[in-house]
Formats: sequence, C-alpha cells, structure tokens
Amino acid sequence: MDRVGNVAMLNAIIGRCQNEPFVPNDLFQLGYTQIAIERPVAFADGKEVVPDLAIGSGTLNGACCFESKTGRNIDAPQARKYAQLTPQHLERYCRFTLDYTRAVTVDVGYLCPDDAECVDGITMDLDREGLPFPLLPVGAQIALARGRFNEPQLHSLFATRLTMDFAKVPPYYHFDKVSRLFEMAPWVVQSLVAFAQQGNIPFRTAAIAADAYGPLWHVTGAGQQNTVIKKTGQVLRAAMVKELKSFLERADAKKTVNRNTEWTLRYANATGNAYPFQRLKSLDKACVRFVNRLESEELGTLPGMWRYLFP
Amino acid sequence: MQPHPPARTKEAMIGFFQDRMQSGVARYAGEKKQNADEGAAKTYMLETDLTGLGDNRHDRTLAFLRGALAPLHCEIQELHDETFFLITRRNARGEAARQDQFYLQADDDRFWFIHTLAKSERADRLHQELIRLPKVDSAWFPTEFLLDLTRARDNIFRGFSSRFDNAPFAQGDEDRRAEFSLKLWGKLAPTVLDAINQSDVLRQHIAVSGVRVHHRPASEDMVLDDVNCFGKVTAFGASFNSHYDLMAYQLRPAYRQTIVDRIEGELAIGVGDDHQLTGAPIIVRHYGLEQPIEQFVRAIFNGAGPFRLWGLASMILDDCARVYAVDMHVGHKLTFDLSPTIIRIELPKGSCGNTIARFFTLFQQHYAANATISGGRFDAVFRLREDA
Repeated sequence: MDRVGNVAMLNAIIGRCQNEPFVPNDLFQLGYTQIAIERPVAFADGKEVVPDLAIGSGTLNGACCFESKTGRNIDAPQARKYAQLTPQHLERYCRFTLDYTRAVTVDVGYLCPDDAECVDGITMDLDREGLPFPLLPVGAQIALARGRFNEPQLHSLFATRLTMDFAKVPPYYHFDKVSRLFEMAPWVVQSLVAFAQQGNIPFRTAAIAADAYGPLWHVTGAGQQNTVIKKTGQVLRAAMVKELKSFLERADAKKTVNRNTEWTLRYANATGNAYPFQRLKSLDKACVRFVNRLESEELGTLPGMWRYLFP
Repeated sequence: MQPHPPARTKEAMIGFFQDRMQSGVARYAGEKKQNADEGAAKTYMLETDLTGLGDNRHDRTLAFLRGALAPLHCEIQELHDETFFLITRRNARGEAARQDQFYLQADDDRFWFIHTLAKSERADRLHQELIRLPKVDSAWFPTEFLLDLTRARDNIFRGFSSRFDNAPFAQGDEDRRAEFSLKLWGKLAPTVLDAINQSDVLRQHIAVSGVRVHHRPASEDMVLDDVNCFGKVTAFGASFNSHYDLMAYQLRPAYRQTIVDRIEGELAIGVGDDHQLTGAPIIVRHYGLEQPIEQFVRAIFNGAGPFRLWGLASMILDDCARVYAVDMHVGHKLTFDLSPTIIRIELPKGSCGNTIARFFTLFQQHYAANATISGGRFDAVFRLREDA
C-alpha cells in the first residue's frame, strides 16, 4: 500500500472515535471522543506545544494526545514539553473535565508511517531523550512498536494489531501542507465549482485554499496555511495550463500566482437559471483528466488509470 | 374575470381563504358533485437562502422576487405585512387569471409558504418554476417524516399515496425499469400500509410520497390535508384555519428543527471555538446495489435532475467511491462515500441541510424506498420533534 501520511493517520484516529460505518469504532467503544485538534497548550515558562490531536474518555477518565510524524526524527524540545503535560493542562486548554476522585491518566502517543526508517529513527530519538511515549506505526495495521499507554484499556487496544482500511478512512482532514498536488486537486476542483455555482466569482487563491482545506482551516497554524495557499496556487496554475484552460481564467496577466490572485471558473450562465449541461459535462471530463494527470505525474504511474470517473 | 382584490394582511388572507373553502363545501353540498380541486387551498413550503442579499428582510425578499419572477410574467405586490407579498401570474396578453393569485408568506426567513386557490396544474407550474431558481428549493419530506406526521398530536391518518420510479438508475435498461404508483384513502389505509411493511419486496419499492391527515378532528369545520413529499399541502374541506395551523405550527417547526437544528446545527462537520471537531457523518443505509457502483454514482452525481448534485467521483476501492460533490442548487459542498449498502455523507458547516432532505427523499422515491438515514445521536434524522 501507499505510504500513509499525516492526514490519513489523524483521520484514522478521529474516525475510530466516531461511530463511523467504514472504520472500526474501538476507541468510541472505550468512550473516547476527539477533544481538540491542533489546540496550543501553554506552559508556565511561556512555551507551548500543539498536539495534532487530543482524545479523551469520560468513561476511562483519561486523555491522550497524538503527535504524527512522517520523518525519521522527533522535535526533541517538543517531546520534552509533552513529558510535562498534566491533566490540568488538558482540562484548561481542551475543555475536558476529569474526575479527580478516580484515577486519572494522561498519555502521549506518536504516530508514524509503518516504514522501518521512520520507526527506527523515532524510536532512537525517544530512547535518547529517555521518554516512555508509545509509538504507533500506521500501515495496513496499527501496531504498538514501543512504550506503553498509561491507560490500561487504551494500551490493551493498541497492543493488539488493529486493522485499518485506509481507503475508507473518513476525510476529516482533507489534506495538509505535505500532501501531493493530486491529493489536493479534487478538493480544489470541488471548491471552484461550488464558488462558481454560488455566483461568487472571481475568487482568490487564499479563499479557494481555505474552502478546499475544510472546517479545520481556522484551527490550523499560519505556517501550514501559507504552504497550503501556495500549493493551491500550484494546483490552479497546473489546471489552467492544460485541462481546464478553457474554463479557468485569471483576472490579471501577471506570471506569478499569489494568495490574492483572482480566478474565475466559467461554465454557468450568468443568471444561473438554467444549467448548460453540455458545458458542465465538458467541465466534468476536464476535471477528471486534470486530476488523473497530476496523479500519474506525481506517482509516476501511467496516465489514464481512470481512478476518477466521468460523472 | 378580474382577480379578487388582494388581502392586505396574513389574517385577512386566512379569512378570505376560509370563506372560499366554506363556500366551496356549501356549493358541493348543494350541487352534489365534486371537483376535487375546486375550492381546495394549496400551500407550498419552500426553502430559501437569501443570505448575502442585504440585511432588510422585506427589501431583500422583494428584490429577489422581482428579479427572479419578472421573466415568469409575474407581478409582485407589496402588502401590509412586511414579509407578505402577492404574486399575480399574468398571461401573455398581460391579463391576470381569476384565481392565479399566490400569497407569499416569508415571515420565516428560511422556510416560506405560498398559499393559493389556483388549480393544481397552474400552481404546480409556478412552484416548479420557482424551485428552478437559484437559492430556492422545495421542502422535502421523506417517508418517515410523513408517517410521523400522521401520528403527531391532533392528526388522524386518513390515507397515503406512493410513487416509485427508478428511471434515473435504469437508464438504457428497460428490463430493470420499475414504476409504481398507488393512492389509498380511507380508514383502511393504515392497515394496508402495515401489510405492505410486512413484505421486504414491497417495502423496497413503495415509498410514501404523500399522506392524508385529518388535522384537529375536534374542531367544528373539517379539513383533510394531503401532504406531499415535495412540500405541497392541499386542503380539502371547510377550514383553512386548521390547514394553516398544520402548516405553521406543526409542519414548519418540525421541518425547521430537522434541517436547521439537527442537520445544519448538530450533524454538519465543523470546528468549535475550543478546536473541537463538531458534527457527525450522516449515514444512509439501503438494501444494496443493482448495478456497478460506477453507474450508480453517475446516476446521482451528473449535475442534472432529479438529484441536482454534481460530483468528481473517485474509486477508492473496487466497490467504494468517494464523491467530491456540489449541490447545483445552492453551490454548497458535500462529500459522499458510497459502498454497496451504505452512503456516508459529510456536510460541512455552512452547507445547506435541505440538500440532505432532497437527496434522501429522492433516493427513497427513485431507488430504495426503505432506505434509512441516521447520524450522530439520531437513529432517524427525519423524525418530527417529540412534542409535535
């Protein structure tokens, strides 16, 4: 299978906390729900960590923060801060109430793709720092590679090899700053068509990026946002050059694309009273060709795999 | 014949319609013959979204109506109430037909009523033209919503109609084409419906497309209301008051609660102030596919009717597709994950919940009459509120 990215890893954990039909709901069964996404947690020394995801269970009276890594290293200062995390931090920043008359647990788990270089690199870094955090390599299965969770039932769950069909993971995160252009393209195309249908033209690169990124845009850091806007510009430029040339127009003739570049998708008639279906069908096909081409270019596969269907 | 002078207020309209319905019943009693449509009041419930067209409700409604209805030979007249308008349909010679007066009641910003005594054919035509406009859609009532209405307080179940036509899914394959229609009025209707529900095959193909209820049975003047799945309610009898009570105090609050509070409020996916993901996916379960999933997807997401959804479809597995969809009606986004028996819908915060009602109602009417819809804490999304 393709290497699992941050987006799929986080979506998998969120999905398991929901009562989803397409992914196992084992975390949901333990009472876990996601309590915060990319919520900064501040410490007394003025420093902060931003866990990618925090989940909590009222039933088990515990919470767990997840940090996903796609490289071979951890951010050591960040990991040391995670070691200082207390239940009070989670209560304060994640608005999660714990019952101190019972045992309370706080965990930090690392997620990484299931490839040896990642697993070994992160394991060595955590060992070097003397940190006990569990590491969960994520591939066709989620399996605990090191450490243990403080919450016994959470540990038991991850100690067994959990199966995961990543094709069916729900798209809470649509993509992130390291996603490839073909992974972003369907979301960008969807936003373009939606904006055009609303008569909301012209639209700026930054607005398209925010819309395509989805509901998590507002909690995403500025660094991630800027990269996503830049990459959205790359997607749009690629679309305009080839397949969507006759649909997508730029409001100016400048060569560079930036966050304020204005785009227009022309296929609907001005009144919006009637849909020009022939034109819409051409747009459909152009969109499919466009996403297919990006995918074949980036993955090095043959073009025209028809993963994307003509509607 | 000249049209009736317009009622200036909602109360005057109710009085006028009440008189007309009572005189219709008296005429029927005298003549001993019935024209089912004569004297019957019709109310259409529409869903609208005029956000972005200005803050003043009266002005934006009027501006929208004038802009949208001028090409349809309709004249808009402002009445005494600021959210109450009269639409008069004129023929090609500019004459107004006697009964082609449509009162538009926009006191609820989102869910409008159009009341008329016009004949069904002409009223339906205007309704069809209105819902083709951007920002306007019908209200859509799935089977369980309609059946719940028959069980709600002050209502007695008096009949149902059923229509099923799988044409959108059987294009080019006449062998698979299934068409069915049924109307059953009277006290035996609930018994027949129970019998239908005992059969898996019938349940799969008999979607309830309308119900007849006797609302406020204790009131002096009787009225029977035919509630159609696309938001049309026809009142037969002598009491417009009872009909109006059903529409304004039972049907609309229940529908508003389902669309606005449940779907857009609780189920739409968003992120709260505390960085918490809110909402839950909406799950449609059905009996299974009769054709390859690619054909199934194309039938729904081709941008045309009846579903009016466009989508970029990706096969994520041999039998699973993800569709990056746009509702062509309002230009809002939704994401669909489709497997052979389950459709998972992710509606982003800010998207229109009526799209879900339209999709699910039409899915029942054209594909799987016994499909169910759930999401989050709701085992059935389209239920009337408990106290209805």
